[in-house]
Amino acid sequence: MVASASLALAVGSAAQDTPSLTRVAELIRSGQVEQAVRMADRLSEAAPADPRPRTLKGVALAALGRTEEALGVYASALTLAPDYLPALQGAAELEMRLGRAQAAGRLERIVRLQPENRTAHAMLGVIAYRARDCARALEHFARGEAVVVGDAEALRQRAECRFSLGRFDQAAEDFRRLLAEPKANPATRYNLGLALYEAGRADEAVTELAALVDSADPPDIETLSLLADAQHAALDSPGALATLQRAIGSHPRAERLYLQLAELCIEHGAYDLGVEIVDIGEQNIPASHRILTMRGILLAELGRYDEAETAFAGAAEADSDTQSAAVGLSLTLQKTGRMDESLEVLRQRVAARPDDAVAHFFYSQALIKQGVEPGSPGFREALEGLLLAAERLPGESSPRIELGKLYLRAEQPDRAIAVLEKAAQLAPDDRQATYNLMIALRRVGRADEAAALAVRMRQQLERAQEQEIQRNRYRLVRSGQLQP
Amino acid sequence: MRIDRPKAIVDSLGSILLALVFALAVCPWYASAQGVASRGVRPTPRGEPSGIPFHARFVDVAREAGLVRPTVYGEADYKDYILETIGGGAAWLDYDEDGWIDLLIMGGTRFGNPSSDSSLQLHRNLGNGTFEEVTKAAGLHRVGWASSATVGDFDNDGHQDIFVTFWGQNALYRNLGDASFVDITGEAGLLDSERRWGAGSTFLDYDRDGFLDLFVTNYLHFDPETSPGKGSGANCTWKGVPVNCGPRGLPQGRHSLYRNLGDGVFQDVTEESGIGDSAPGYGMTAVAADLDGDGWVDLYVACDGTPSLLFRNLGDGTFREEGLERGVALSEDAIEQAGMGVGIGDYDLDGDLDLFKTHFSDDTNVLYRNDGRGVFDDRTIEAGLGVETRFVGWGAAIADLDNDGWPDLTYVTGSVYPEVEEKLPHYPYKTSNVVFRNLGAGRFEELIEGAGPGMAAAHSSRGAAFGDYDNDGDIDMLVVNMNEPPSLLRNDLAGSAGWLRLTLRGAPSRSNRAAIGAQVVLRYGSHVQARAVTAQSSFYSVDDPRLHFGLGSAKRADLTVRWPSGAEEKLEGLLAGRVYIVEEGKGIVR
Repeated sequence: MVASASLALAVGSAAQDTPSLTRVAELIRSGQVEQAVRMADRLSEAAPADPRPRTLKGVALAALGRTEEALGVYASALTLAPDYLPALQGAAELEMRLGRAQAAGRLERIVRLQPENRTAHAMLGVIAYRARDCARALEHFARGEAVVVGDAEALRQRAECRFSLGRFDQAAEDFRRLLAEPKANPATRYNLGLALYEAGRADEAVTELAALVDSADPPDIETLSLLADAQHAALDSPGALATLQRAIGSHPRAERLYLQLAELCIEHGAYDLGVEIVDIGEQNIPASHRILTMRGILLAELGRYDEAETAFAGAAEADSDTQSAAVGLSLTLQKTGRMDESLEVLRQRVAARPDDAVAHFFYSQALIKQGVEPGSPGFREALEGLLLAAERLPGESSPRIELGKLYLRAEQPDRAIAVLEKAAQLAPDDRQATYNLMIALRRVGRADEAAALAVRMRQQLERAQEQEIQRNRYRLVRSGQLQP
Repeated sequence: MRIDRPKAIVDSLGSILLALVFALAVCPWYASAQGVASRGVRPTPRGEPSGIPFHARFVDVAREAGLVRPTVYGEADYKDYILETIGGGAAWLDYDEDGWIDLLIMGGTRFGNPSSDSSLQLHRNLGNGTFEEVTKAAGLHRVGWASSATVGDFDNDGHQDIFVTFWGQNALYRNLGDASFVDITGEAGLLDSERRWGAGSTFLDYDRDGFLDLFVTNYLHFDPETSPGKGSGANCTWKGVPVNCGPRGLPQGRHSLYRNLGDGVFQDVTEESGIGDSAPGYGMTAVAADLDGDGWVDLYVACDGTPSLLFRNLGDGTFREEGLERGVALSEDAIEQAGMGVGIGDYDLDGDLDLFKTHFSDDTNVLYRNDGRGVFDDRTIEAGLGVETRFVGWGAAIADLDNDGWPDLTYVTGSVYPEVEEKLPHYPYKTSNVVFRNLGAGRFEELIEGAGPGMAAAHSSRGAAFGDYDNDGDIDMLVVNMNEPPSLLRNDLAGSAGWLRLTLRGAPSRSNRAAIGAQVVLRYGSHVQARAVTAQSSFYSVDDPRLHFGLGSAKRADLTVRWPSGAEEKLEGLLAGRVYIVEEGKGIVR
C-alpha cells in the first residue's frame, strides 16, 4: 500500500546519465534496480544530510528483496529527518510485511503528519484487527475507507470486526462486496448469511444460505444448521423442520442437529415430536448426555416427571461434569415437590464444582423458593450464591434479576435498583428486569422513572404478544421422514 | 474463513440445553405454550403446621337444601371449545326482600345436545335451610351460555336488579318488586350490535350521580364455526395433550362501560371514559371499589393470559389504566397470569383494600397488598401462598371464615380439561377447594381437609359466592360445579368469636340505593379492617350484599362509612352479634 507513495515523492526531471533523484526513481520503475542503488549511493555521498537518496535506495533494496538493508537505510534517512514521510512509509510497509511492532509507531507518526493519509489509516486498521482491537480497527478503517474497499483482505477484516461488534448490517454490506470478488469462496457467502441472520434480515439470510446449500454436495452441518435457524426466524418453521430433517439424514451422528430440532419442537409445544426426535438421536448417538438432557427437558414439559428424572440422571451418569443435567434433575425434583432432594442435588453440585456459577444460581433460586426469610441463614446463603453467579456470569441477567428480587424482599430497594439496572442493560427486552426495576424505583419514590419503565414494559408486552403469535403460526407434526 | 456464531452452539452444545433449562426455571413461556397462561411455578415447601385450631368447618348441604339441579356447561367428559370450559358464577341476593339471601346460578348449555337443565337458576331461600327453585316463575328462564352476574338497584326503586353476561347477548333484568323480573335489555340500550362473549360485569357509580352504571368485560371473540379444532395448533395442546383452543390465539375482547342516564337507559361511554384506550385482553372477573383511597370507585379486571387491568377513576368521568404502574398487572416475574377470580378485602388489617387473584395450575395465586394509595406489592411468597400450585383457581374471597378478626383467603378450583387426566393423572379434572387461614403478621397456612369435608371434596368448580344464607353469623359458600349440582358449603363454626353485620343503604338522590361502592372501616379491639360493598368479585359472582366482619374476642366496634356519594359517616359502639342497617345520613336505622 505504501511503496508507490515513496517513489511519488522523488520528483523532478534530470538528464539521462546525470545522477539525480528523478533518475534513480526512473531506474527503479524500469527495473534497473541495482543501477538505482549505485546512483542513490553516489547521491548520498554528495549530500550526506539529504534523506531523499537514502530513501530511494531503501525502495530499491526493498525491490531487490534485501529487506533488512532497506530497513537500515530507511532508518538512517529517518535519523537525518525523523518526519520524512517517504522514509516513514517505506519503513512502515516493510515492517508491516514482517509483522514487526515498530510499524504501528511509524504509521501513527504518519497519520499525525498527514491525518488524512488513508493508506496509513487502513494499515493501522489492519494492525488493530490483528491485535483484536476491533473498535480501534474500525475507527482507522473508516478513515481509510477508499483504500479498504479496494483491498479484499482489509475489507474482510473490517467485515469481521463489524460483525464482532454487533454491527451486523454493515458487516453484511462488506461481505456482499467480498462476494463480488473473483476469489470469493463459500465461506464468504456463509458469513454473509450469518451477518444477515444476526441483523434480523432472516429472509435475505435464507436466500444466501439456501444458495450455498444448493451449491454444495453434501452441504455441511454448519450451513444447514444456520439455514434452519434463519428459516425459523423468517417464520418458516416448516422450512426449518425440513432443513434439519435433511441435515440429520446427511449427518446422522451430528448431535447438535437433534438438539436443534428438539428445541424447535419445544418452541412450538410439540413435545411428543421432540421426544421422538431424541429417541432417534439416542439410537444414532448412544449415551449422549446432551441428548439425554434434552429428553429430560421434553419429558418435564410433558409433565412426565419420573421419566424426566431418569433421563437427567442418565445424562449425569453419562457425563458427571454436565451442568445442564444436574440442574434439570434438580428442577424436575422440584416439580414433583421433592424440594429437599432438589436442594441436595444442587448442594452437591456446588460443593463439587465451587466455580460453577450456574449451579450457584439455581441453588440460590431453590433456596429462595423454599421460602427464606430476610436475615435468615438461608437468605444469606442465597444472596451469596447469587452474588457469585452475577460476578462470574457477567453477561447474564438472570442472577441479577434474582438478586434484585431478593433485595426487594429484604426492603433494600437501592441495592435492588443497582443490580436491576445492570440486568436491564444486559437484557433490555427482559420484562422481569424492567418490571422489578420499576417496582424498586417506585418504592424509593422515583415515580417518573418508574412511569417511564411502565411505558417500556407495555412495549415489551406488545412485542412478546406479537412474537407469540408468530411462534404459534405452525404446529409441528411428525412426517415420518426421520429414520434412525 | 467462517465466522463463529455469537452465542455459538458451535462452541458449546451445552448452551442450548442450559438455555432450555434456564427456560424451564426462569422463562415461563416454555411452560405455557398451551393456550392458557401458566408460569410453571413449583410450590414452595410447607412449613410445620401451626397447630392452631381452625374453628370453621364446611359441610356440603346442597342436597338437603334442595339444590340438586346440575349446572350444565358443555359436555362433562370432553370439551371441544373454550366456551364449554369457562363456566359461570353465582350471586347471593335478597330479591324478595325477606331478609334471607336467595341464590342465582349462571348456567350454560351444550352444542348440539341441549339439556333440559340448561338455564339460569334462581333459588328462593325459604329461611329454613332449604331453597325452592323459582327460575321460571321469576321470569329468569333463559337457555344460553351465561357467565357472570352483577346485582344492584339500577333504578333506585328499592329492589335488586340483575345483569347477566352471556356469550351472545347480555341481559338486564329489572326486579318488579313482586318476586319477578322482566328483561329490559333492549329498552335499556344494552343490545350489542355483534355477538360478544360477555364475561365479568359490575355495577358501579363511577360518576357519583347516584345511579349505578355498568362495566362489562368481554373475554374473547369466539365463533364455533371458525374456531380451530382440538390439537390443531400450539394453542390447542396442553402438555402434549390435544385440548380445546385458546384463549391464546383467539382475538381478545374489549371492555365496555355504560353510563346510567337515570331514566332507565344506559349509554355506551367506553370511548369517552378512557376505558376504550386500554389494550384488548382476555378480561374475566371485574371488581369495582375505591382502591386508591381518593373517594372515587376504581375498576380491577382479572385477565386470563394478558395483563390484568386497573382502571383508576380520575374523578372527571374518565379512567386511566394503570395496572402495570400500580403493580397488579403481572406476576413478580413480569409474566401475564391466568387471572380468573378476584377476592377483595383487608387481609393485613391496615384499613385499605387488598386483592387476591386466582390463576391456572403450575402457578401460585397472587396476593397484592395495598399501600393505601392504590399501589400494590406482590406478597404471595412472603404470605406463604407459594405452597400451593396444583390447582386451577376460580372463585375466591378475602373473608373471615372463622370470625377471628383476621380475614382468610379461600378459593375454589377445577381443571378446564377433562381429557387431560387420563394421560396426566396428576392433573385431575376435579379438585378440592382451598383455605389459607390468616395467621396474622401477613402469613397464611393452607387448610383443605382441616376446613371440613365440603372444602376437601373434589369438583370442577368455577364461581363461588360468599354469604350467610342461614343467618347464623358466619360466612357460607355457594360453589358452582361444572355439570354437577352446586355445593352449598355451610359453615359449622365452633368457638365463641364475635361477628357483626351491616346492611348499607344509600340516600336517595345522593348514592345508589344498594350503596354499591360504599366502603366501611371497622375498628375493633386493636384492629382496623376495611370492606367494600361490591357488585361482583370472586369469579363472576356476587357476594352477600351485607358486610360481614369477624370480631375475634372484641365485643364492640366503631366504624366509618364512606358512601358512594363521597360523604363520610362515623358510628360508635356497635355490638358484636348484631345485624345493623345503616342508611346514609341517618345512621343506624335498625
